[in-house]
Amino acid sequence: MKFKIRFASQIVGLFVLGGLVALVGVLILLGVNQRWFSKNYHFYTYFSETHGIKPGMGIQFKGFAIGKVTDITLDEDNRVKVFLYIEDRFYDKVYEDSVLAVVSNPLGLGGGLVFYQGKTPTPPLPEGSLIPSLDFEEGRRLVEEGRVDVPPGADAITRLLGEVEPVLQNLNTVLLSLDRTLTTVEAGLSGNEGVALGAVLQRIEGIAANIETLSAGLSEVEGLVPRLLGARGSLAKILDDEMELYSTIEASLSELEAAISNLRQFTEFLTSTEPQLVGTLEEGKQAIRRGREVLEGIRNNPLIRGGIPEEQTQETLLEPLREGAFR
Amino acid sequence: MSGDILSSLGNRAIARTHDILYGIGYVATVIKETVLFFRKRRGEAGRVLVLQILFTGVEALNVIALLALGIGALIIIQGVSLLPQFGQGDLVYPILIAVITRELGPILTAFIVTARSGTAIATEIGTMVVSHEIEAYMAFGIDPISYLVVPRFLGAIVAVTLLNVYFNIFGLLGSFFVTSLIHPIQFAEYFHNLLLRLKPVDILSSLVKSATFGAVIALVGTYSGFQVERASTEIPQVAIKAVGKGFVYCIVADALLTLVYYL
Repeated sequence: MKFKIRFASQIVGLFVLGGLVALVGVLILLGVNQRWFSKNYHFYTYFSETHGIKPGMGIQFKGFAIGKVTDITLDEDNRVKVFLYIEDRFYDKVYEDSVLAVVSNPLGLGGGLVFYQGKTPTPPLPEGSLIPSLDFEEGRRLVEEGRVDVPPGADAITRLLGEVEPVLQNLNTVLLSLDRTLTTVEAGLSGNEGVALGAVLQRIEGIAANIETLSAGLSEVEGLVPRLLGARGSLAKILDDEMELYSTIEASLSELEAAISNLRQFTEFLTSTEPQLVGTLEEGKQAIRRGREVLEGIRNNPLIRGGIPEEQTQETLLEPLREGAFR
Repeated sequence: MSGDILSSLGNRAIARTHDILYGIGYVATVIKETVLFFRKRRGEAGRVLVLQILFTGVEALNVIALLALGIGALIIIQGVSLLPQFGQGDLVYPILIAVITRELGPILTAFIVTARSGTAIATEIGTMVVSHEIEAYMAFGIDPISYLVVPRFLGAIVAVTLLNVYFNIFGLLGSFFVTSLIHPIQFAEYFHNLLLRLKPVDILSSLVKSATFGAVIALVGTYSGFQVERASTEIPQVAIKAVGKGFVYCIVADALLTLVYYL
């Protein structure tokens, strides 16, 4: 007789026993993993709309699934009443002032109901209590009063948008710096600053007018020369006119010297401002490059595929004139 | 002429109705005898039941295991490599459960058992009819339904149900080890996620389907065997018909049970 036929009962018994043990084992493991025999603490909350909330949807706290939505109804005041439970192992986290909120992913992926714990540790809320949501005044007031922490979203797109913000801030700083520099230059040109370029120009204008008057006097027949060289001219009188002409010349020279001094100060100011301008332009260039990388990342991937590509950096060709002069 | 056509149509309708009523009566008799099978001393019929489970279940285990390992590993490898690209890596578990436990496991097991044991049952019963063994049993007062059909009916139900359980074990767990050779995954994470998503209703649906398929295979096989009248040349014909009908009835039953699951 064949072995199989002779021991058919034993083989079949083993086959049946193996299958039943596997089935019972899986059921026991299911019960343990899915907490069939654990207590859940039931609460409720209100939302203005369902926001895609469905029975069976998980409730997250710091990334952990702490409970589930059990039922949704529309009450007499047209508020969406959401019934939920919190698992017994997380029940002690349900402090007073805790709130619930619906988070959604900008691309429509993921999202769900999120639990935010009250700041002050208290005994857990009694079962059947209301946990306010951020859709209504009560929940928003708790956040405004700082009784609950609601951190910013942490999904991939939100993080990416978060990276764009510092870049924009840098760009804003650069633009403000540029604006200040341009204002300073404009003030210098208009003479409103201590440098007083306008005043310098006004003085030069005065000198030019004097020279013009002098030239006109020199070109006249009965003008300055005869009056200067004649017997009754100014030259004759130069030692006898109580030094009037000499004082005039000295005053003109003093004005010219002051004008030259102011011009030198302005030139020094421009030279000292030039490195700041170059630095500002360089910062602007770096900020634009970072912005372009982030936009490249967004364009490459609706789901962050590919990331931000490596880029060969190019040293700036713009160098301050002063450095070039010393080579 | 038109009278001949009408009479032909009428005769065929009567014959078809007779067949359907005969089939319903056959199923009812088998179910009644199955209930009685547990009440009276089983004797030699118990031995037939054990052998039926041996031939239908134990001997098909290697084929089932290989098939389950292949399909399970294929789903895991494809799921683990493709789904995370769309941020939906966790979908591999619901897909595994839907394919292995709920849909493909029961129907593939049923197809294999139909091809192996459905033909064997039809051929065996057909041969008994041709060799007048059925008449001999009846002459000795032995009911061929309770002695020949009921053990095969119960044996097929038990064997297909247990084969489906083994299909799930190999498809869900065995395939993990096959996949680990190519694409390492954390066992604890895989097992925990699988158990979190596997619902009791999935297991119940799978067991109900496989038990129904087992019953369908045994009923179609024995019914086809009894359709043999006198010639041995009829045996292969009814065997082929048993396979074809077995497939069709299993698919119809699967569609109905899936509909009930989603209601």
